[in-house]
Amino acid sequence: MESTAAQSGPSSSPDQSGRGTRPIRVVLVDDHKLFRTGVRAELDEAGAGGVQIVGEAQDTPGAVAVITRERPDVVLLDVHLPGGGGVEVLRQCLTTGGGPGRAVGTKFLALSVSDAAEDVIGVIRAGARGYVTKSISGVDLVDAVRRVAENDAVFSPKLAGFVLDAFSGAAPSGTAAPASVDEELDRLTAREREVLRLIARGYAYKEIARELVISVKTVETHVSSVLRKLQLSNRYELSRWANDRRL
Amino acid sequence: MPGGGRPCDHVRVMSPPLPEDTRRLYRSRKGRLAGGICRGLSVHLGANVWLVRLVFVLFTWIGGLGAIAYAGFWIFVPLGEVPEEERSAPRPAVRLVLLALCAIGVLVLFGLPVAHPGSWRLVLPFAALALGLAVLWRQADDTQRQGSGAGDGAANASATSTAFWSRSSSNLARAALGTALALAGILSLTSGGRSWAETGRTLLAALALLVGAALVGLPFFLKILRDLAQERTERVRSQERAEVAAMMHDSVLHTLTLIQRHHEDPAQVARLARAQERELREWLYGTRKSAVESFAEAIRAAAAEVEDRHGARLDVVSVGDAPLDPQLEACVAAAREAMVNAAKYAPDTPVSVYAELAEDRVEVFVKDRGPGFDLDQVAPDRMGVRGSIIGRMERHGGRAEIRTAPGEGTEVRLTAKRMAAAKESASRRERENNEEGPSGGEHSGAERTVVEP
Repeated sequence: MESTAAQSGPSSSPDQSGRGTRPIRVVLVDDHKLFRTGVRAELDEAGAGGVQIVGEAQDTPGAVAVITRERPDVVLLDVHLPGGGGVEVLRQCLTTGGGPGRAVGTKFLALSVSDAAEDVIGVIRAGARGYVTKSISGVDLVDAVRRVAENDAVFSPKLAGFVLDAFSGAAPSGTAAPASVDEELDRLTAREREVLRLIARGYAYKEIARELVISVKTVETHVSSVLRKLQLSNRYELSRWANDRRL
Repeated sequence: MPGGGRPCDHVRVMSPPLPEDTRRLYRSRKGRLAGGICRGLSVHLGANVWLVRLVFVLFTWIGGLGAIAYAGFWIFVPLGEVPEEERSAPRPAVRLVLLALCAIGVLVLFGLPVAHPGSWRLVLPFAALALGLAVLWRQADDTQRQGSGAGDGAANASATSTAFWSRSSSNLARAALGTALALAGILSLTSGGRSWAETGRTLLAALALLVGAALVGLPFFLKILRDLAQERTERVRSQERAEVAAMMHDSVLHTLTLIQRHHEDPAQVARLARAQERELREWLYGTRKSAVESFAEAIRAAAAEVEDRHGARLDVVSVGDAPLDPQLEACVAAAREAMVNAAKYAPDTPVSVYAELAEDRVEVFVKDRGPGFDLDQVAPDRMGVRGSIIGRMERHGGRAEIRTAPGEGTEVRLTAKRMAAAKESASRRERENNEEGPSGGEHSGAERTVVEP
């Protein structure tokens, strides 16, 4: 019923919380059929027609094929997949041979059962806009999908903790203005740090906004900026630290 | 002597299965003169080393039997493992002197060179050959030891390789010396009293034979090498598989059985599943540190215990880590108390635990999404619970705050300035301030008055 409502088009479902009229088109990539079914049900239920699943895939080549064909708004991507994994999907879709890949406009949200640092950092650095664990509730997942579709970033508490750990010591309390772009990428501002700590403490974006007396949009901006730093920074802690954790 | 080897699993994996109590003869790595054979035999037989050595020397007198036996032992008896800490410090000078004494002793026993100068011709080549072979075989032992060290894991690879490069020049020199000695020995033995031209021709023929043999044998040799490598990976893989199977059987299957048995009790099922999830995660991604040496692990262990006891779900995020000290222990205990409260009063929602350990302070937040309460309305008799959190933190130089309101959930915030680390960081800060100049001095002074008890 929901899916027909979603497909029937623009005019239906007024309660899409301000997100235009078109439902967000989502492709679901996971190698467990049971899990895909569960997520589909949750998204249909909690998404209230705002989210439409247009395709599924269970391995890396299949995912790339579906994504290039459907050009979805958001891909929910598992980290561990047969045939190369989530990182490989991201690589083929976003950057093929150094140039732009086959699905440039598509946003990726990693959805994994793994908390391991190298998985999280790996998939984020490959280009995912966010990382949530599979224990996330349906409502939160829809929220995350919506956020990623609007080009914002989504951090789970765990990921926020990882980032704080990796960038720790980067910004001493009396920090001077960063001298260059590289240096700017290598440290978090005090505000970004605060936002991350609140995420790690389990605050929702709305609660963070209220706590810091800023707008939700500003919180999103901070998180997106952290994501950019995470993806572009050459901080050797990012790799070294992931290695450390492994041992 | 390069002594960088370490005992490793690799060798243990490679050795064939034996009953635990079977005693095997090993060449000793510790306190050896040449190949460690006499030392190994003495350990194996329970006899004095020097006695064994004397026997070998005496038998050498009888047609060189001792020397041949020694060489045989060297080839066929494996090198033993000695724990790193028991390995004696290398004393090459002493060993050289002892070896020289042994050699002189042998010569004197033979009594040849002194009596008839002509038999130098016979003895010297043999001595050169023996010495060259000893040097080469010793080196083979050392590379075996290095190889076992490199097998420890990729993390050690770089360290091993740098050590290898620093050693390789001396290794090369030793190998060249050994080869030259051995070759010279063989040459002078075979050439006898013939002319140089004839010797050259023989040499050329021998070389051609060697090259031919190498060409013929090369494919077989390569095949053996490849088979060996393949077998090794196969063995490692099967061992890994056995480990996974054991994990699956001991823990996952067990839990699944329990879950089926308790299927009518959802709370119990959830608890079992959560405990199993935690265990699997620990096994897959865990840091494998004990709760004693790691603050983050202690917090995680406390959360796990609360989960098991109260059936709640606690998500722990930690930043930074350090070994536990009394202050951090108090923090963990207070955090545990806060977790218990959260699990009790907000049982159906996940509880977020965030622990951050910086150089100079420690912070723990425990946040639930339960009903919350009005802090002013709490009866004084309930202060006991709060006392175990607030009081404990205050005793250890910290604070506890509780933020809550009806319908808002509750967050307990524990903070403390670290005592153990404060001393080091204060001294470091002082140093930094001295470098920076007088501007920071005031700050460091204030810090010191706080820090020094």
